[in-house]
Amino acid sequence: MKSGLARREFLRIFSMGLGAYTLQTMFLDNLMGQILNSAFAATGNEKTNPNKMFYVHLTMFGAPPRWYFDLPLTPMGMTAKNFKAGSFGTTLENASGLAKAIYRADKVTAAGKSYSLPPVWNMSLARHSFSDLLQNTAMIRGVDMEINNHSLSNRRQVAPVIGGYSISGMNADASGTPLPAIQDASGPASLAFRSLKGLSGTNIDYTENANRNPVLTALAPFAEYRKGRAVHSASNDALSDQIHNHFENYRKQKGLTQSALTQMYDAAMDLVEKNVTRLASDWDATVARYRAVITEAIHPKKGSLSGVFDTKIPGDSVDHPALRAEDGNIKLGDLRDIITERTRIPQLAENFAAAEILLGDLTATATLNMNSLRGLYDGVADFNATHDQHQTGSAAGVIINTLFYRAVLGCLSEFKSALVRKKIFDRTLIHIGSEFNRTPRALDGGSDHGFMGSSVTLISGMIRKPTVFGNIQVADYNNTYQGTFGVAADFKLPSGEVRPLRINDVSRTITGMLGLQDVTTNGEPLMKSDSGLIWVPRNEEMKNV
Amino acid sequence: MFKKKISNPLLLLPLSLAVVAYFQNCSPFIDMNGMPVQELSSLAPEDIQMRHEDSDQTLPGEEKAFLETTYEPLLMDRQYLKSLFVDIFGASATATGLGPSLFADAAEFGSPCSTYEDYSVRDKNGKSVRESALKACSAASPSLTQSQNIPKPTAKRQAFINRYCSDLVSNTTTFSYAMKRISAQNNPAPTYENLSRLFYLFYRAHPKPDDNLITSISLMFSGSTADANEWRAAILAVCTSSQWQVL
Repeated sequence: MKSGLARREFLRIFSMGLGAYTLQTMFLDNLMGQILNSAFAATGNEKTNPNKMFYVHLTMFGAPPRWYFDLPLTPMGMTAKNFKAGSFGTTLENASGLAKAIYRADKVTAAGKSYSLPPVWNMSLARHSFSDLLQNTAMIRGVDMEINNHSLSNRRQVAPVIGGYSISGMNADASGTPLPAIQDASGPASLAFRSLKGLSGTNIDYTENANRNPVLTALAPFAEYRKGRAVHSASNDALSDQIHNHFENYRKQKGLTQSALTQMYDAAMDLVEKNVTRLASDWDATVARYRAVITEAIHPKKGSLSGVFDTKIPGDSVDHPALRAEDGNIKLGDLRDIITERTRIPQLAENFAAAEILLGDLTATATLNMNSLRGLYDGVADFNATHDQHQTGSAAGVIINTLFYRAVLGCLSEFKSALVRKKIFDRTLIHIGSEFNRTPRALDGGSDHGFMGSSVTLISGMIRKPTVFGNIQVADYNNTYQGTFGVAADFKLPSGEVRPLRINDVSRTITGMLGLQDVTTNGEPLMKSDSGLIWVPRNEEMKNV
Repeated sequence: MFKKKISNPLLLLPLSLAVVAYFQNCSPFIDMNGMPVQELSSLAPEDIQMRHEDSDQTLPGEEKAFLETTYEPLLMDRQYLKSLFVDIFGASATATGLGPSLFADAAEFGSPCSTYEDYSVRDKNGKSVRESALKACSAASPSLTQSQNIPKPTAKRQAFINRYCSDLVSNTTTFSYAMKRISAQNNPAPTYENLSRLFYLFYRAHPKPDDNLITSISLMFSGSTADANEWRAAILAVCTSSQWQVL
């Protein structure tokens, strides 16, 4: 009854032939790519796109202050005449027995370009120098978010039109990978996922105390299940393929249009046969690598990190706003003791590990949250930092935020190395954002929602020189928020229009670099393709201050 | 408001004629059932001709120009799937194998948040606990909140179904339930009638298949009699054939 080679049978023989090749571990990743790209029709009616681009959105829900990270206030140097320090800083000084936050920017050079940047960029870890990362970095500051709302503006980072299509959804549509996207459910940006094809993301389902492997969970549908079941004898499966051929003929004869369903059956069984769940075995080692990076970043030795952790700063001399945490005063003889052995950043290592493992042939899109520091100590009890630092004083903020961003940059460096090893860094765009920046309160006493000027960082192999876009201005709102802290100012766009940047401009920059359909109806891309996959500014960069 | 009255009624005549001429097509077309027909404003008048799709009256060199409407076939969402699988394999199907995961996965199987459902979420210790629909829908799970009403064919969805079908035919209770839907006899013969019943267990409201398709299912049987494992394989082949998922 058999007529010709059944479709699935052909694929099985094809994969058996390549099976011996898979034994060579060094070629394993390459092989997976070849097979997945050539044989899988993964989503919808399309095959996996061999030229797919990779999009990773890292959000910081709560909106931490960015002047420690990607809001250079004086990128061309501290001589800027319009700069006016506000009630915050990036380093600490012992001012007559009182901790005082002072704004300092360090000159950092990468790929022949120098900028004055927050001191964290001048730091390093044992295996990572952050200036190496800087050469692939574009900072966009002074982005007017227009809306003062945590959840909405966090979502607008990926879907700038509220309720509209998202960059993550568009990239999932374009990539055609078996997992359209992965996402960490703890950030609103994940909720903004919306694709034209109606795809959905897969949750990275990790809980800090549960010791689970979210990669295994994500790939569970493709786990081998046939062994030990009599119904899955080799002859039965071959006969089933022949029967399916008749069903495919039935579909064609009767005009049923869901040919994709047949393709999906093949794709699903191929993923089972290729044993993709083996990737979950990389979980423990990969997480451990990122945890080591984070531990090193947030547990510096006393005496290290100039201006942040190098000298003893009194923390208990007086009740001062600069020394407050969110839930009360810090009563420590040495402010550095705020960091304990219990200090950690939940799920940061796990999110990066999941992205590192799954990004490639299985998915091309990730939306992940970066939590704040937990397990800090105020002299009486442990407390957790929040990104929404209304009450966090300027002095405490220097340590809390600098160490947080140090961990972020450490993980990003580790992540970049992994993407380079996978040979996909040149096709990857890492988009770091949160809902807005912050406005520092007077007298060093915390900060509020700075939706008038947000920051975005893009890191990609497509960017070969550090770049800073967007302008900011000296602000004085109701005598409450004074100084230069990132409020958006006019910027000359490539079209010649002069206005503050908006999130739509950022969105169009990203969709342009990824080759995706725009998800906004307005805005201007800030980058252009120079040659192939190298992107450069379309017009001018920033003005100092 | 008017300062002058129109004194000569004859002046109204050309105006009236102009109004009638201008609005003479305002009334909707009425079809043979008395229903209004929407005007096809995007087509030139010469394009609007009565044609039959099967007509061979096209003149040489003339393109067939009939209106096409594209539509996307609906795939069963998780609620439809649950209903179908329970009907075929019995109530215990929902708790068998991958059933609980499959019917909770709105991301792959559609049907997002619904107040009809009880939801479970993981607490801080990773333990599954019951959650109200409103809370579960609002924030706890993007897959619930953001998923599409109409699911799409994906490799992950089909992988779930392939495995679930295998779970169901491997489970004695669910397999026995399905067999009773095919025949009251134990291990019935793979007759055309019995195989047709198997086909229509899944392919409801689908066009009648050719005999070749029904006959092909008999490939799973070594002769005119059958044992349970052959029926398991036959049910599995139909269950994983996938086209039945189209509503």
